[in-house]
Amino acid sequence: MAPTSFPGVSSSPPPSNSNNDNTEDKMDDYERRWRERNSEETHKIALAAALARHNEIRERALGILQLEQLREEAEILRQKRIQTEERVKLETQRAMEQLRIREEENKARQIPQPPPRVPTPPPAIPPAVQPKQPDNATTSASQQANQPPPAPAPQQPSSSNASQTSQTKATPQGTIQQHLNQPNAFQPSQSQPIASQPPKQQPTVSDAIQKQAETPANQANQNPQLAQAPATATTAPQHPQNPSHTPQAGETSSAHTQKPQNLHESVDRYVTIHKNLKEVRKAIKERGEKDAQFKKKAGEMRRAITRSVGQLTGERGANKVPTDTIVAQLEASLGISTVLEAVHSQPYPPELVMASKPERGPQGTLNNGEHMPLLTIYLLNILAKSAIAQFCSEAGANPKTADPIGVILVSVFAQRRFSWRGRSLIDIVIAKFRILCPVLFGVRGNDKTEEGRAKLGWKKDQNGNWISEQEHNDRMTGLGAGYASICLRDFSKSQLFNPWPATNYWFSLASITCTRPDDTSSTQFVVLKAMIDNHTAHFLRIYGDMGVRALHVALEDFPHKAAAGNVAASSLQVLAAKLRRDTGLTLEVK
Amino acid sequence: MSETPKATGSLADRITGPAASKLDAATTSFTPSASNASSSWADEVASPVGGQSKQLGGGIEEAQLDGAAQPLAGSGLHDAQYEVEVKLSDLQGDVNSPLFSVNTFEELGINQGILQGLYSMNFKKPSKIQEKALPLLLGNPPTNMIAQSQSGTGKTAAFVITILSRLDYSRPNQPQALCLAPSRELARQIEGVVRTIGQFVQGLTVQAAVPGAVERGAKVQAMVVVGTPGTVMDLIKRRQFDVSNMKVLCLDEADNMLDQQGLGDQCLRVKQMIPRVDQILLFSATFPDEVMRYAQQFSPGANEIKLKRDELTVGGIKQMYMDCPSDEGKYDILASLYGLMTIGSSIIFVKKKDTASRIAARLTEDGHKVVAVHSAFEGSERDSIVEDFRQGRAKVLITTNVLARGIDVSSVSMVINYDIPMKGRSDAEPDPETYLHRIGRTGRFGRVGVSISFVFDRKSFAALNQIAQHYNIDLVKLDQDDWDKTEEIVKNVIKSSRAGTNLQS
Repeated sequence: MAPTSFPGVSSSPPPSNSNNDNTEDKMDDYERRWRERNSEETHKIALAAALARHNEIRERALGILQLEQLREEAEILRQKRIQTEERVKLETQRAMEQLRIREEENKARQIPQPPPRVPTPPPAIPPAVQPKQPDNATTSASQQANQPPPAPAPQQPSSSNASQTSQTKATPQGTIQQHLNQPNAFQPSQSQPIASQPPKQQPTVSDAIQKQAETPANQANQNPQLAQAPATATTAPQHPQNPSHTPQAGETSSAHTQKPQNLHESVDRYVTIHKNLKEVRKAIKERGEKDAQFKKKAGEMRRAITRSVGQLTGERGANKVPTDTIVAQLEASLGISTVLEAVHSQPYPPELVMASKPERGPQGTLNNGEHMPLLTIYLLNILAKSAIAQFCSEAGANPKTADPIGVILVSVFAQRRFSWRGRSLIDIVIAKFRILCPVLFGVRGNDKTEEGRAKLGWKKDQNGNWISEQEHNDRMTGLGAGYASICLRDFSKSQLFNPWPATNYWFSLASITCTRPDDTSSTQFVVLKAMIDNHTAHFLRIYGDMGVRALHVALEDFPHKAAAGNVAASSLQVLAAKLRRDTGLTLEVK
Repeated sequence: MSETPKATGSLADRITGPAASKLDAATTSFTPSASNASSSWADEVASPVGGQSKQLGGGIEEAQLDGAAQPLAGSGLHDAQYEVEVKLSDLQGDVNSPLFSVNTFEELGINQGILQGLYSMNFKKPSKIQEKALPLLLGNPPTNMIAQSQSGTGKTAAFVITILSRLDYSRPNQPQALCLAPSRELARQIEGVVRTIGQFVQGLTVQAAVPGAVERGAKVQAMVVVGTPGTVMDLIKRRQFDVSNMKVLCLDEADNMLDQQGLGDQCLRVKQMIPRVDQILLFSATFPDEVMRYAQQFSPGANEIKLKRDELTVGGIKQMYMDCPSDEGKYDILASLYGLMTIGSSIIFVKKKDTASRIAARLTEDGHKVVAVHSAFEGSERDSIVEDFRQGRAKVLITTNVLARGIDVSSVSMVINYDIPMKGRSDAEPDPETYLHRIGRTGRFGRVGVSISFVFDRKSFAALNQIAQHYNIDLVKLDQDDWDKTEEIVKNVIKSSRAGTNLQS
């Protein structure tokens, strides 16, 4: 082939290499081109030109596309910014509104409640808990109706006492309302001097006890009571200090109608009770150091209770021996069943370990005096303590074991023999829950901060390090299950009154599930799961359809508040699936 | 033999190496949770259905807050920002603990049905053995595994998860996985674990192959078969058990299974009768050297996770001993132990059957619910006795060595060595492996448990002493003279360093 290059269709005039005649040249060129119009070279050149053109157009298009994309991205970002602004604004508004609500509620709480209420208990649904005061007229009336021999008590029956008696007959709502009020109905006894004694005499437990132990004069003062405490338990109370009591009763009742306390304070009251219980233990220990025989006896009783609590099983009727043992120890401490010198102990004012001080019960009420034996309080504390320890360890590993412990705990604390002025001393147990599992009482905290953990009751080990997550979860599981096993007891067939009715369960359930999304913690999910798992049957027996609705909130709605990937929240959802599978209970709302 | 040092080297790598590098991973995974508020907001907005139910919930919340007293607002809006974050080391706990882990089960890629089962069992995070072993166990192609981990650290769950992940659920009647255990109780227990973890797995079938469980002539028609070697061998021989499609063969308590003459032979025969199997897994808390070699033959080319001897004891188990005046005096001392501390369930190991019966009588008198299991009981009877104990209907179990291994009752908080475990001709020498397995019945999954060994003469004292030296542990002495004092000692021992932290010292 000739070494000349040939122009394509659109190319410039070709350089000629041979001739000077222009037209001839042109003809030659034309002919050559004509000749070679189908040659490979020509095609290649044409293709190259087309490719160049194509690339040029393509690049221009790409450029435009990029611009367009940038524009779109900018638009998306702008939208996002607007959305975010909107969200921040709304969230701020919401937070402000909540703050305002809280303030309003705080204000509302300051408003004194009008004392009387319609004399018939309203057939409202149980959850409608209202911080109203129990009505004196109603309760005393029902109390009279309830007691065939209308014993004209020398002192006015207190509202709380009366309602307690009425409880045996009352509807669950009655129980609930009355009970919710209980912790709030009275001034904390800390601030209230005991009627029979000079105010300064018993500011704290240890003071009282130490004074008794150390000053002989004081001891002499106390001694009659020491002997009397057991006596009052068996016989009708003929307390010498009765007259001085009546004005005080009036005082208290007027006080409580005037100033209803909010839950915050009574919940804090449990912290004080917990401290006082430590003093009780200290006092027993000090007495033991001086009196070897007492130490031995108290130790034996303590171990008998711990052992018996450990022996409880879920079998029907299988717990007779351990229950009898526990009751025997407590009775011995009251001086009922034994007259052992060693078990006689100092008297102790029980209101120090109660949320509020009950008034004297009607004649015939057991333990109607000012005191109960210190050892009895101590042993009730030991019972509570070992039950709680059993919850933490055993029920933490296997939540089903909580139930029998709860049954015994409630049935012992419901007994009139171990109550003071007809009111159960169950606050001893509750105080421990308050310290170990604050989540149940509406306390919230962040699992991941020091302060948050402290608030949530996350325990520290001996070296001051937080215990591991696994251990914490175990404890919370056990305590949640334990609390449920105490709250959800059925007293409808019992002569006794329920010392810690199911409204408390509802309250815990509500205060956990009402947590704002950013205040939720894994601890809450763990506790909630333990409270619900294995207890749905009891819960639904008491609350029926409202209970199903509550479970929906707890198992379906509440887990959504957790951050994505929260395992504790997931296991709550699995619990819903399990209920559906095992019991056919569907929680979906139509 | 040259493999042993290599294996320990790889152990060090696996156990200490990745943990250090994981710290970073943890930091990053930790930070996002700080901003969970916005993410949960996004969730709510994303799903209108959720939003709707949210509103309903809101209504209820208002109703609650309306009437009832305001829940104690321990957390105001105000104080949230100023809290100090928990130290990373605290948050993650002790890196050396056998329960330490930074991963979640989700991150290990376990399927949803199995995850639900784990959550319903209150499992929240994988233990160390699970975190190390599961990626290797679940990897493809399937690789053999020899894994050692302390008692109560989740070995069973690890291999059950593996088995459940390997099954072909379209063939519910075809046996695909076989798990062998040294005793019927243990086989029954593993069967139970498979059922529990698999409770949300659609179409799972499980069957036990223990004496008396499969009728003569009936076919074994479950995907997962759990059994004892002898029975399984008979079933395969009699063509009741089709092993042509086996995916996983697993030996729990593998050292025991391969060591004992009888069981070792049987296991090998079972393996030889299986034409092909994808994955052979050997798990145990103890692997004496001589068994290890055999194990490597049995499970060739296996990944190995091993422990050093002084890492074997679990910190949550507080080990004590009681100096008893005489062999007879042990009864009363035993009875007094209850009451010293909070005890859920307890297991008492004795040497002779008649001792078991006498202790049972003594403790029943004291109000305990007692059951006794030893070789004198027949198969199904043993099943129901152990089930009573497992369900908490009885809280004291008295047994001989038949139940030393593997039995997992989470609420067991005390183990008594009423007689020190001995082995050899006429019980001449102490048996540290059995001791370890016995005390491993408590302190399950990071819980605190107590073990108390009774000594009364020179021989028992020397034997216990040797065991303590073998594992390099300190045993705390208890006194039977002053129970108040003993109570205090026990209390302090239980309080001292919590579960899993003993490995620091």
